[in-house]
Amino acid sequence: MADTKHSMKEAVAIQRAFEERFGDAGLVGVGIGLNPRQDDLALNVFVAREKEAQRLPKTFDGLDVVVDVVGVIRAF
Amino acid sequence: MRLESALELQARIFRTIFEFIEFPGLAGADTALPGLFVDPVLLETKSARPKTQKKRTVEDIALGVSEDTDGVDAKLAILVQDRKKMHSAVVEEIVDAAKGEAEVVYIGRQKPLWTATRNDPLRLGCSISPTTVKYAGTFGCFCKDNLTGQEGVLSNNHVLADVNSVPVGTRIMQPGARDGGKPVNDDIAELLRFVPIQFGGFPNRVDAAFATLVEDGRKEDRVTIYNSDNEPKPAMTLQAGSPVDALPGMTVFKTGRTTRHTRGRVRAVNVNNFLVDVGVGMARFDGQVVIETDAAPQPFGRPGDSGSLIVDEEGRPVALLFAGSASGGAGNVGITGANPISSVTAQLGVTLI
Repeated sequence: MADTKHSMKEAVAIQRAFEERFGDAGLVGVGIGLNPRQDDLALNVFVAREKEAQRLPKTFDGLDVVVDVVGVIRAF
Repeated sequence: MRLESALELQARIFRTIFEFIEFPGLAGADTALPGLFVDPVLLETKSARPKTQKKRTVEDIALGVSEDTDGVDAKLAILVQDRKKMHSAVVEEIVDAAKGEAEVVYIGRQKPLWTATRNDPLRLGCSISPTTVKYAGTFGCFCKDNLTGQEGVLSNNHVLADVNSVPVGTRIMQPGARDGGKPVNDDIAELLRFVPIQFGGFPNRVDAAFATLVEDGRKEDRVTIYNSDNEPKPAMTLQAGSPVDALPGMTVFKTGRTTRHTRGRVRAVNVNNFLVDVGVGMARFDGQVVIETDAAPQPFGRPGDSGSLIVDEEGRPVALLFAGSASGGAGNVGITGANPISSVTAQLGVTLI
């Protein structure tokens, strides 16, 4: 992974704050990925439907919020 | 021609040229779709069939309908399994009936996926299941019990233990039940341990189980990760003793029962509150790895791939595949969820070998 502006440790702390704020917003997963420019970490948020995506901010505490509408996640 | 016309033409050719019988229950049904057509030979009792059957002209020919991308226009697809039939009279008769709106494609003999057949030697990525179920999952890799030193198979709880419900000691077979595995004949292991999946919002870390090998006379290939060819060829070598943590953007690979050898990219790590429908309820998983395909439209994983070991470009273990979606991720072909391999080995009490 290339150098990023935020460290993984900083990103995990921001992730925790994001989960506290949006944890009950119908999300199906929150993790740490790369932003679209690949120059920093981002909050990767997985939602079941587009409706949930619309409630989320574009950035949070300096990290991009990248939202992915994935439907239902099932055991494979 | 329009799709409905192509389907009607396909049905007519099955009746006239193939001389198939339309299944009575569906004949005249209120739908544009053709009914179920059956070769009359299959309806005869075995004793009523002639001792030496004459090879019929339509043998080795399959007939389908291929849609254009607009979903409106279509043409017949004539799929030929014997190269000598490519320009045969019967193929020309079908093309004439379609007034030229047909494509003839040589597809050769069709074989089941190597992952879904009986493997000797046992290979990483092949089909397995308990003897007591009807599904199939994937043989992840060989590992060793840290308590007893017994060697065995790593896969998911929901593959080897059907989500906490298969008794310890139950035999595991290869191939799995869905792929024609037969209890006793195909037994390779017996369930020793699984990490229970808990519900009610409990933050599970892994979906993992371990089954000890039983003597079955088969050889074992413990380190080769095979490609997707029907006659599988080595693609990578597993470095079982050098597990690594997933990082965003990392390129990863897996070989599994359904999609065989695929390449992906780590989309996210430390994924919390990952909610998975495990068939008997929704279970929450924390600290997960999410992977997307690196080769759309081919997905990284699909149902039946659960239990696949995910490795990096050097063949070092990264994670254990267990879940996924049908949409989202690169190419919108779905994402795949996996347990970090360090969590799996720690919670299950095993070491990869």
